[in-house]
Amino acid sequence: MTPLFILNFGLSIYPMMYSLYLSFHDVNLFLNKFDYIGGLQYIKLFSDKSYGEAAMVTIRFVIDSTVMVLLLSVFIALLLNRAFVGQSIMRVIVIMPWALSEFATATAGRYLFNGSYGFVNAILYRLGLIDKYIDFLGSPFVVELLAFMYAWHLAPLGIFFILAGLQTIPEDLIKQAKIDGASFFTRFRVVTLPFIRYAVLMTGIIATIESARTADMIIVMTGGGPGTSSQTITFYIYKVFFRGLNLGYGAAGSWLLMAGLIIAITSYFIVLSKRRRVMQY
Amino acid sequence: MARPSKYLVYIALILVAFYSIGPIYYIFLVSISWPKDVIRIPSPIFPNDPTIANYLRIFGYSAVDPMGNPLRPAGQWRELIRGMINSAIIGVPVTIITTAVVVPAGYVLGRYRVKAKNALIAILFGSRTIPPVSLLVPFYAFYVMTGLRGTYIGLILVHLTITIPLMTWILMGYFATLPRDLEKAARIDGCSRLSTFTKVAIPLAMPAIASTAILTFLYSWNEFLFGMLLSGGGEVQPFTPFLTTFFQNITVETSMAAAAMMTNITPALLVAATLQRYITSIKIIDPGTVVV
Amino acid sequence: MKRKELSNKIGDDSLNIAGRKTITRRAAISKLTAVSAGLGVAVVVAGVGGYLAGSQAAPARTVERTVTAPGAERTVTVEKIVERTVTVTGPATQPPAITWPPWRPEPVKPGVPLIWVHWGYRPDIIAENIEIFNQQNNENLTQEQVTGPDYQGLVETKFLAGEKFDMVYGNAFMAFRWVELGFTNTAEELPYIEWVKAEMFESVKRAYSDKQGRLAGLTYFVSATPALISNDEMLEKAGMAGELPKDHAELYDMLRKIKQRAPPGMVKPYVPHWFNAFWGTVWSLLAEVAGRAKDPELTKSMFGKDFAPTFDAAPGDTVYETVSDWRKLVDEDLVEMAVISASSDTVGTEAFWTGSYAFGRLNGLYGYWNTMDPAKSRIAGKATLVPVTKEAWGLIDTGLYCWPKNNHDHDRSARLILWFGYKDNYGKHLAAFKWAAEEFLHTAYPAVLRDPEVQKAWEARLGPKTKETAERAEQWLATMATPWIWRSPLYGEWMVKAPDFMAKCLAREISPKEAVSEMRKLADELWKKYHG
Repeated sequence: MTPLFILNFGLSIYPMMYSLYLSFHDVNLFLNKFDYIGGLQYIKLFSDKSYGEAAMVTIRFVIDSTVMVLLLSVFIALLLNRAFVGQSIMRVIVIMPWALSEFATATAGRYLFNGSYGFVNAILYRLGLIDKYIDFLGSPFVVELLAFMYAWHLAPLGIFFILAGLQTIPEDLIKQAKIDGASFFTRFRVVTLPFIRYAVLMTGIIATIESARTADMIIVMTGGGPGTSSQTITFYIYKVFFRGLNLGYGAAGSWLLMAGLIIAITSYFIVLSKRRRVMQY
Repeated sequence: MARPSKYLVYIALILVAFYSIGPIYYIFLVSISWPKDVIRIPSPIFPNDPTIANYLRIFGYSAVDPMGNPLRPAGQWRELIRGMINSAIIGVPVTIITTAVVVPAGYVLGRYRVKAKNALIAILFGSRTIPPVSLLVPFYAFYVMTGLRGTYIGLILVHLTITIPLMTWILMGYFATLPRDLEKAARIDGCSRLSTFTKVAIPLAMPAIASTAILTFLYSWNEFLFGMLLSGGGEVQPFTPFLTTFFQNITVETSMAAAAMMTNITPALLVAATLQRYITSIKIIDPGTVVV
Repeated sequence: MKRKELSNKIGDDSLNIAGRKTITRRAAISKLTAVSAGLGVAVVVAGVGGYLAGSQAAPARTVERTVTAPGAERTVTVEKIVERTVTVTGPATQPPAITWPPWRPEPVKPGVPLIWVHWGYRPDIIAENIEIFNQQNNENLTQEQVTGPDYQGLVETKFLAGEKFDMVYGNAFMAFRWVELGFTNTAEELPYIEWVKAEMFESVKRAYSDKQGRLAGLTYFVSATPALISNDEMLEKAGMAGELPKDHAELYDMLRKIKQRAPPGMVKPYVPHWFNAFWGTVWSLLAEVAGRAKDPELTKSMFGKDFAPTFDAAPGDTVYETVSDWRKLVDEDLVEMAVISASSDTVGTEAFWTGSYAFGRLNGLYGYWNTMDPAKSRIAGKATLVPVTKEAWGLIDTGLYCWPKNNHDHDRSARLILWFGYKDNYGKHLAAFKWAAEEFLHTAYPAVLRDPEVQKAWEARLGPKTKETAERAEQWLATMATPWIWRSPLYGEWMVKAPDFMAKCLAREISPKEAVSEMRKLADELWKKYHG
């Protein structure tokens, strides 16, 4: 086991380190440049308006995705927690979005929201709600649409995490609360939440990390458009790396993103360890 | 519970079902339509002239549309079949190796006090936060230097670097919650540590093992960026990266692209659907708490 | 050794078994087969000035030239030439008549397949060509497809990583870049290159030549983009049947008129060629600026001969005027906006094919060809390619076969490139012929475009519009822009970031003035970096 772990880490460490190394250099193929410019690269990043805009878009996308994922997972998990006819079928149906790759999800999103022949447009049109097709992917809410598709893909994981947590709640507690006449929300807060707290937190963290990392969704669904309004940091890095072949700059950009994420995760750990002392498990 | 809310629940369930399947249904719909029908306005929401011509075309057969126009087979049909085989060739070893490595690792980490456990968790998490986009060029250069680029082993290794940390973390939490009584009983009865592990712990952990296998396979089957870059479109190109060849330009039609997507999605859906009950039985517990 | 013969009959699937993809085609031009049967004298036709690089000078003269090879069986090539001046190009001394190809196919070395890196345009035709090549030469050619908008980056990553491959598609600016970076050889190093050059159109040769006048590669195709196409049905409904604009200003006025008339079933009047890829918004801009400023090399209106930027965000400047006009189109709601959220031309093209727009700008003259395909487009048969009257509409869209330095085998890869980029083993421009006949892709070889089989193939789809479309295509090709800036490395970087500013302007986030000034600033920075 240990040797495989070592191989694993070794394999991931070298590219990480090389990427860090690259980020301190100004790489230009044409001028045969590979100059060490150290922190200057990062300063260039800070003064790059496009990077700043991409950061804003990323924050918006991440918050949208995480919120949607959490709401969807909790809601659907609560729904699935009851016993009803066709429960196993529902479970099969609900996990399907997770089985798709990000690429497939993004393509599905493109088909759904296509302004000329999209599914959503077709349904709305036939229901008589609109008389002209809407160009969803060109609207100012394109980031929300992207987040919606991403949440569609990621939610099943959260659903099952939370569902597992819900099933550890002892029946008596619920019965007690109902007898005591507590409202739905109170019941949820006092009885349910403590048992699913960890699952919810995990889902939230996973949603945050994964939505910050994804590039496939944006590449396939909107190409960064309209304008640059759906250009997240990862998409911008991708463009800089692969279309501009600006290796050092792209590396620096991604390390900055990683730094941000690590800060987020560290704060999670701090919160969690505090909780641990307080929580009665 | 009052009666009305039961109906509400059923309505909500139906909506959730539509919501979950809707996008997949639409891809399927496009894949069984003729290219011209897809761009009709209003576009179809039910199949009105279903055909398997697109599926035939992506596998190399020609077809004729209802108006008698010949439709050529997709030029990449060989690569499509190759992609499917490659994804299987890569997916199976990744699954087996990951499960073999991660189950013991998770067992140890979940149950025993390990020094620097928090540090380990932090590293596992940390390696998850890097956007794969930024690792592409270094990985690529590294692979070319070591000759791993364009080989099956190379892709298997890349997938492993992602699946092993992730699954370890999940299983750590799971093993931490397993009741210890059975194991204690086995030890008292004189079993060695190893046979406690094999005869008691593993059967208990079957659900976790199964779901690790499933999640790993799904991940490997769906992996896109590294597969695309590290195979460069060559011999070992897996299925999902291959799909981009259907989205280049107007010469490859939307219906064929949809058919290719359905071919890609269906195995994953089947795997997920038939084995989802294993995934649902994993309880996610904070791996930091050690149950004594 | 069984020799599978080739057929040039289009759509000849009659020999396909159960619809399978076997390539057994009979040579339709049997006369050329006679040449290969050993009477061998290949006809060398000296190409005389074909496509003119945009000037509206002397009226075109038509000269017919008949060349007969002595001793060969009825090998006749007839050329119709549109020319300004008679320039006999070709080698100073007539090369000795040779049998083409001047080599014998050797047995394939086991374990070393050749690799062809390409973008996937008509992958079915590519697959066919590979099979034919392998059969004719006893070779082992394989392919690798690289995705669209990142094509340049991904191929350069391959170069950087030292991968071996033997032939790679490149756009003109990529080809120049790769030669300068030392990734590829110029075509000058190919054997028998003089023969190749003797058969090419002058203007294409110019377009392919770098600063030192060396050819960067052999021709895959030549076309003009973005093609302006009218939806005749929609125009009729708007009461403007048959009216076609003569320049950009007229086009935009027509769009406004059409919007006023609001014909039934119209979503918007115009589908522009704007999207986030290297052949999208930037090329649209280059084409329109070159047309409006009557400056085909864009040296006066955008980037000078020394590559320094010459445009400004000032009224009267063509770039500024163009971007402002575009913004006006957006503000007046004349344009299908879905295109700017896409990273390829598929969105706009499919939208236009639904038939809900009056005018569309599609990728390449082959975009028109696909619009007339009844299996894909709902306006097949009811669309027209707009002619060049007062202003040139297009920009050169060309693919080259480039020759990587790091290949598997010098001779085999040279032979590979000559086969695809010049002639096959029967002395026929086979690849170019197939692309012309099956996809309306023009080429550097006049012999192909005058070939009667190609004309027949075009007629099969375009019907009564064939003659006028073929003529209009030649007009487009004769007047299209060939940017000089493509020879500078700064273009490769500028084209990645510049479209962002235009995209933001079109999405109404910044003004045209800001967008153009930002583009100018970027160009200045890059010029200093590379040439300053």
